[in-house]
Amino acid sequence: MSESNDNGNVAGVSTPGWEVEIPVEELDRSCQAPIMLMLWKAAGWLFLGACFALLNSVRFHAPDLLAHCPWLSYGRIAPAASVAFVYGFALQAALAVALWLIVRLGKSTLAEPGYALLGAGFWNLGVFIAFIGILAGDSTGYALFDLPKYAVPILYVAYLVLAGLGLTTFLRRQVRKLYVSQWYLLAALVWFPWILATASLLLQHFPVRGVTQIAISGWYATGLSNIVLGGIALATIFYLIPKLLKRPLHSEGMAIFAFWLFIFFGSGAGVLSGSTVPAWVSSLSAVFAFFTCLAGVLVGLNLFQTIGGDWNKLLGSDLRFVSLGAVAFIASVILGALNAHSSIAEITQFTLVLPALQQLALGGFVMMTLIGGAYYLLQNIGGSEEGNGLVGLHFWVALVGVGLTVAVLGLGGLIQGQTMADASIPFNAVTKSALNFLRMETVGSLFLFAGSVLFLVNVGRIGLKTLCCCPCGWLIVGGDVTDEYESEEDGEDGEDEEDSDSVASSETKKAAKKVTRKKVASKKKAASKKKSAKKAAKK
Amino acid sequence: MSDSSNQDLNEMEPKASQAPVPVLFFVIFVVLVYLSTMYLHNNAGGFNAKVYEPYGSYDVVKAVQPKGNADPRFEKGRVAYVTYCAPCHQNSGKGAPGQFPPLAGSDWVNTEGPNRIIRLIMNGLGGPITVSGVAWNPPAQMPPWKDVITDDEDMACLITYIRGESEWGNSGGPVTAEQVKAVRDEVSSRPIPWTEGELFETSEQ
Amino acid sequence: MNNGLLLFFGIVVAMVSSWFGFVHSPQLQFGTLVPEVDEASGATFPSPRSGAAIRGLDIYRQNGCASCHTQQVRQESYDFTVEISDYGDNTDQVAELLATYSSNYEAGSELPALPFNVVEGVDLGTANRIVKKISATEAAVMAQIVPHGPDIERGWGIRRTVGADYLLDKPVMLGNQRIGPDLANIGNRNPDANWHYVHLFQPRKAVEDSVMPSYPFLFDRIPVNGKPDVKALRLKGELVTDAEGRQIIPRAAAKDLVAYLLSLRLDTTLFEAPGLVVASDEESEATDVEDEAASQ
Repeated sequence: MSESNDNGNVAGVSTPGWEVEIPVEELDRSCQAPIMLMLWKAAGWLFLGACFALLNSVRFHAPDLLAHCPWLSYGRIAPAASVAFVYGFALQAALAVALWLIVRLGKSTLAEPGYALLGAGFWNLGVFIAFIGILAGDSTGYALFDLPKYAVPILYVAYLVLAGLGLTTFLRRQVRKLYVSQWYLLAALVWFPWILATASLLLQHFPVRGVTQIAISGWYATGLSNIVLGGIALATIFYLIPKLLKRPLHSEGMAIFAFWLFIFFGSGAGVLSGSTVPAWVSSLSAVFAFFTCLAGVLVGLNLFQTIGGDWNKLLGSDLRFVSLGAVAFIASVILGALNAHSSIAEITQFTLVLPALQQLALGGFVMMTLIGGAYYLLQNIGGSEEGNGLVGLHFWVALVGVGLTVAVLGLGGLIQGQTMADASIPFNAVTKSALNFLRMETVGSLFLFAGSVLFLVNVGRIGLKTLCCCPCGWLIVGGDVTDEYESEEDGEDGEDEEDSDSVASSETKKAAKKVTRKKVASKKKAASKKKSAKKAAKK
Repeated sequence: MSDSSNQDLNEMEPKASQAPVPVLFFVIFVVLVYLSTMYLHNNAGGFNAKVYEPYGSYDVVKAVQPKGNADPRFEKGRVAYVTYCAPCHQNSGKGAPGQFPPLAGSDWVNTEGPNRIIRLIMNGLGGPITVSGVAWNPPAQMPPWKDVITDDEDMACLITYIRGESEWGNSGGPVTAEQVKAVRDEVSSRPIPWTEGELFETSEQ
Repeated sequence: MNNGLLLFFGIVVAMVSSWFGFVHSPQLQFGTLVPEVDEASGATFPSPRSGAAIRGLDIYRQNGCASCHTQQVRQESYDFTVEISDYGDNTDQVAELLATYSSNYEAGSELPALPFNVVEGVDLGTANRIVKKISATEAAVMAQIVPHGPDIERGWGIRRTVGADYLLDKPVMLGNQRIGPDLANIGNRNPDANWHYVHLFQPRKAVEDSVMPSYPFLFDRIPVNGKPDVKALRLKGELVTDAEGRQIIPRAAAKDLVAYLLSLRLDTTLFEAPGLVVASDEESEATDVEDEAASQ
């Protein structure tokens, strides 16, 4: 894949094969408002979820902590933290990244950004209501589907709006050739309304009887974490790694194979043998887990060939999060397949191995990838500088947090499982064997909490830098552009500090930067850029 | 310089090149399909709703059910059945099409009183017979057993088993040695097998 | 794969097939089960819970008890025991057979007390063969299935749990973490309501080193005026008080929750989950309740 020339896509010059070419900045601007709102809110929910998870983890050291308040009891905080993480952070950040990827890959602006803002607001309202509802005692009792009945319609409508806009944007795409990421995004967007409607109808409105509830809630949980969240995260990985390494994805054929395997088999894994379901449900689930593993290995191989030895670049600030996410993905599908086999499930079922694997998949894979995608996205939409020290710190803090949690819980779970399998050991001793690991995990939770604070700070900083609200609510890009407008209209209205700072750097670079930033302005402004270039040259 | 290359980067969306899928993966896929089929064959219990781990199949679950009847007479009758009757009527009590009518679910077996079935076994049966609505015309006669199973209690246990085997869906009551003796006294001198019509003329009880 | 429509259809096919496999088929197969009625005794299984227990299930759900406790019992394997319940009249023949097959019986000695386990831990074929031989002597003999697994050996149930056990529960609180012990059979293992109240109020009073959170909001704390209330919690005969010497009286929510816990029993067998029913009462009664519960 040859690199484009140094001028890039200057407005008016179209690359052969494209009919209408919308500049990247315009694409980014069209979706800036809803995406930044969603990422900001997602960061907030991540913080809240990490806070509550930390609280619950500390309770293994002091079980009577805050025990007097029913709203803050362990059994209510746990599902509330889960909802905050999965629906408040993960699904929202995933939607934000998905919308941006659809805009960028199809090269069409986001349809109806105003409605997207509305949808985002509605989504957060839904998550908030669910969160409060769980604390008040209305959790459903199903893992990953802990949404009270009354919160589901709000979330559903919000999702339909956002996914609908995403699909509309996809349908309006200028680039007709589909890239791998778009397949996964399409699957994820279409999948969620189906599983949410099924789960809500069959578990809440017209409840099915007996362990059918378990089969359905397990199917929902796996579909949500594998296909919806996992699919969007995979889309991000497939987008960022080839793009930032400036190499094409190694094989589309392998990607096709992996995609269909993943879509067909990814949503069925997760019911472990020994569960209270007929033997066929857990064996079928195990078989699905094996095929999902094959899909994951194929993805890994594809990425490995794509990287082609450029391992150093993977550790570069843009790719760090996403690379870690890719590694966590492959590890989680392999371990998931191992765990599904009946001989291993005998030891690991009902132990801490389950939260360890969940943390690997949702924390290590989904969270890291979405954060990486969010940071890259924000560089483009928000215009932040790369190589921000706090972003780097966030990476290491999150890495330690996830790694420690997974390792400690995994090891603890194995030991707990071994002791549980020996009926001569009283159960008190089984819990004790796991307790030290649960207490060590508090350190991991602490790091994850610190990571969430850093994320909140980073997103907040970028947001504040970018925000300059008009009464109509639209956001305008870039502080120095505003200054330029002011200085143009008011004549010599003070110095442009950005200009004076950049005297030391090459003037061509500055001029090019200004050209890039100003392309979105109307033709009238084209004249002013020449004016400011002259100004800079004079200084 | 880095800025313009960032700008290039910004414009360049990733593409996929067309390297072929290694044949090895197709091989692995096929092998995985085979292994999964085996895994399901061994562990899925035939996709039956009543089969839970660790039972391998529905037949296994049925086989491990407690034999509700620890009645020794029943078990003795089972042994006698396997010895004398199963060669034709099969262990499953289902008989063979066109040759031996079934005992499982048979209306002749599940009557309220055992009179007719005792007679039938004592002297045998020839000619057509309708069993539970199905017409049979066995080519061979059913032989008489009165001189083979000479002990009344043995025969009573045998008939108790046939009438009471719940796995066949039979739910007739047990038979006592006295009942068998009463019939034997009447029919021991009869040399020929019964026909269906003749049996119908006897008392149902 | 550039055709968006084709891609969409493929995704829909994948969605529908996974729905079919994990939602529709389970519903068809075991979603329409109804409680079974036992003809002999007229009892339905699962037996309906009392109103208090149904409210208790709701409190169990609200407070997220399922995040640390499971209610499902696993089974790893099974084997058979041949048991004689009556020697009948032909005791000599029986003794001969016992000498041949049983390692628990010495030839020539007196016939052991009933019920007697001829062999244990054999497979079905062997068990059936031995049963046939012995029943020919007109002794009452039977092959009993014995389920095995660490859960069962801990007394968490006489057999594995199956779908029919949860037909009346909404929602089904199976749980998937065992920070605390499994509760499927807690009503049998620990039938002492008072212990449960104390355990809910302050787990560390009932089980040393427990990490379970306490639920003081399920209880009222009332100063003792003269004689303590009859309903106040007592542990081993002594009144339980909080830090300020007040007595603890369960609220309705605590009573409902404990009623639910005591209704959790796994002591009947089913077609799909046969097991050994323990007849004697001495084994299931907990003499030293605290240690018994702690050691489970």
